Amino acid sequence: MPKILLLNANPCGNNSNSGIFLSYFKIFVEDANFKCHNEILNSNNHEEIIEKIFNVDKVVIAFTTYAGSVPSTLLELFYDLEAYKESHIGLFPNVYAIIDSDFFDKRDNDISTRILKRACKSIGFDYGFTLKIASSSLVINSPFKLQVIKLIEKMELMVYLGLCNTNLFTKIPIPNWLLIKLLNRYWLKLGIQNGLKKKDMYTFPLT
Amino acid sequence: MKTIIISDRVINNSIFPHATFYNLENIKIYPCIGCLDCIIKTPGKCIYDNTDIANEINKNLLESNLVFVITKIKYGCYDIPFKRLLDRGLPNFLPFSRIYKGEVFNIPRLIVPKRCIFIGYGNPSFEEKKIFKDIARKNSLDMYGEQYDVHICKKDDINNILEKLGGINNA
Repeated sequence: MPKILLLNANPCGNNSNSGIFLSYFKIFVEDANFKCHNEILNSNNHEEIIEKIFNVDKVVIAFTTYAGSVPSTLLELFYDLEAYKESHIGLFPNVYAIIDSDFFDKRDNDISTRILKRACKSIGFDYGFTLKIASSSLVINSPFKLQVIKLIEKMELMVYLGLCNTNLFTKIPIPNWLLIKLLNRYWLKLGIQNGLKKKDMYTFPLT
Repeated sequence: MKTIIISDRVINNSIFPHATFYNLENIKIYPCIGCLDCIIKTPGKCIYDNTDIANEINKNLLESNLVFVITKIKYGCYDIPFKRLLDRGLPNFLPFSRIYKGEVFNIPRLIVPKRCIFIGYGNPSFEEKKIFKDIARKNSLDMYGEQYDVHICKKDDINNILEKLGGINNA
C-alpha cells in the first residue's frame, strides 16, 4: 500500500483554509487505499516531519501564500531537509502542493510554485504539480466550493497515477471588482464578529 | 527623506549615515503563527509585540521613503531572517484590498510612496534570479513602492553596490 504524507504547512494550522483543503484530499486518498499520515508543520517538529517525509512515497504540502510567497516556516523545513538529505539512504518521495491565496489571480501561487520546485530540486525530490486556489477565503464559503472539491478529487487521481507537469487552477468565476467588494465585506464581517467597528480596523499608528 | 536598511549581514552603513540600520543577523524574530489577531482582533498590533522587534522594524519600513533590503537568495526567495520579518508584516496592512498599478494588493495602514532597493547576494541560478526579481517587484508594490530596483551580486560585492548607490538619499 503506497504511503502518503499530507503536510499542512500553513502557519494557522488546522484553522486554515489549507487544513480544509487537505481534509477533502484525505477523504479521496483514503478511498484510493493510500496509507495516509497527517502532520501540521510548526517550528518545533521538523525532525519528526523529516523522518516521515523520508518514509513515504508521496508528500502533499498545503499552505497559504505569505507576503507573496512560501511561509518562512516552510522555507526553514526545506533548509533542514537539504541538510538531512546527505545522510539519507533510500528513495526520495514525490512532492505535490495545494497553494491557496486570497487574491484573485494566481500570481502569488505561481511564485510559490517556482520556489517549491527550486527547493525540491536542491533536495533531490521530484516535484509533481500544484493545485492553485485563488480567492480561497471566498471560495470556501460559497457554492463554488464544489468546484474546488472536484479539482481536489482530480488532483488525488493524478497523484495516485503519478502524473505531473499539469498545474490545476481555480478561482471564483466573478468579475474582479465584485470579488474585491465581497472580499472586503468578508474581512469586515470577521472584524465585527470579533467586536471591532469598521473604523477600528483602520487603526494607526502601529503600536 | 527617511531611509531604512535591513540586512542579514554586516555592511558598510557609513555610506548612509542617516539611515536606520537593522542587522537581522543579530535579531531574533519569531515566525508568524497566522493567528490574524493583528487584523481582526487588535488591528495593527502583533501578539509578539513585546517579544521581539519585528513590529518596530516593520513600522519603520512602512514610514520610510527609501528602503534597502539586503538578503541572501535561497531557492529564489529571501533568506529566512528577512522572510520571517516580511511574514510578520501583516499588521502593516488592512485586510481590505485595492487595485494598484493594475494589480490587487492589501492596503497599507499608512501610505508612504517609496523607492525600494533589493540587493540579493549568493550564487543563484538563472531561474532563481528571475524568481527573486518577481518577488521583489511584488513586495515593493505591496509597500506602495513607486520605484524598485533589484541588484544581484556576490557576497563581497554588496558594499560596492551600496557605494555606487551612495548619495541616493541626499537628493
